Amino acid sequence: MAKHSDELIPLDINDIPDPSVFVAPPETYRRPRKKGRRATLEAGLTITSLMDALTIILVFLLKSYSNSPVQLKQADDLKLPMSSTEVIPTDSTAVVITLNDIVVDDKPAVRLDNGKVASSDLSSGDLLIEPLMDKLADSVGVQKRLAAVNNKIEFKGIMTIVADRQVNFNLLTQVMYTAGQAEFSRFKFAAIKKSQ
Amino acid sequence: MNLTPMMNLIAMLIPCLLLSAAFVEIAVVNVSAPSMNSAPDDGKKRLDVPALDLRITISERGYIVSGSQGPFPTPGGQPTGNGPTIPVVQQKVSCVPYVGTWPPPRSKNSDSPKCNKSADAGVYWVYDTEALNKMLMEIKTQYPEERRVIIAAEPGTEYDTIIGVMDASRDGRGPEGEHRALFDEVLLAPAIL
Repeated sequence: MAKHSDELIPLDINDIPDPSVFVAPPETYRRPRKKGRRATLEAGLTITSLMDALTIILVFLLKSYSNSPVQLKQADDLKLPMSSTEVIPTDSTAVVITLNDIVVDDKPAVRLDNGKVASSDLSSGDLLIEPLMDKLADSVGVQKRLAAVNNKIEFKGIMTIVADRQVNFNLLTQVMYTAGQAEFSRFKFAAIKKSQ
Repeated sequence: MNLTPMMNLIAMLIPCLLLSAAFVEIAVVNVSAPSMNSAPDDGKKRLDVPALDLRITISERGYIVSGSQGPFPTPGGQPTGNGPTIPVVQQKVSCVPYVGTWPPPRSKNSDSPKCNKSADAGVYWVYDTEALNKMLMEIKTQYPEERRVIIAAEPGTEYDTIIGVMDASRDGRGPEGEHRALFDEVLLAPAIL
């Protein structure tokens, strides 16, 4: 019992309080103003830090802005090789060879089975891919008609080939042969630019 | 200051720029058609200097570099005989670009385990692109006028490897780190089917 009361009663219970507590405040002292209704009305949203962040994002996006004619979405079946080349892509017929299909100007042309064209689609000694030839001939026809009407446009026979890094040379030869038959003679192989 | 119109503008600009942002930069390699479709020939062959007709054949055993006088000797100086001029070498390779498969030449590496995680690294056969680049620089000093190279490959060669050879044959760095143009007119010979 004695121990318990020892704990409860503070030791300084009989001490005299500090005299300065009783001195009146000087004349210049002003009581802190009570928080009224006006103060809550004036509080606004702190937007400065958000603006800072947005400005940085804006600058970053402006820096990575590009209007490259070759747009591509990297997927599991389309991983481009790296290259040290500096040549900028130009606007031309684009043939995309993924591991599963061949796409001409964003329209699928041929399905690939295990990286190979089905033998029913091939002709001329397994070199010409028939469905691809049809699509390319259409594309060449459109470009030639445009060139006939507008003398600023010229059919140059340039083709951009965007291929996955695992595409084998056999398939590449078939695509290039087919393109050659469709009057394409200059090729541009797309690759990801290596950062120096 | 009233920031609301500014915020509206930025909120619109950000999605627009996000759509047109390109985080991978695409570049291209110029290649001429396979020689079966009339190889470009400008017709001004110089007679005093014998034509080089540089040809790089990619096989699964390595690169075979040959000219009009037959295959070039290996960088070590030995005549090549039937073997490749620059054979594939065994090297420790980082698995980052090859997850789920083997580094090229794939047919030669298929006995080794596949790359499973990008953090892995394994010892694989790889093409010695640096040796090829060095050798082509020596050839370029002998034939400074030549710009054309014919690249041929086995049907199973990967696109990655072909781009690698084109990189090695396009330019190089001299002994003082200066940039030197090599053979930049690439002609792709068809696969031997």
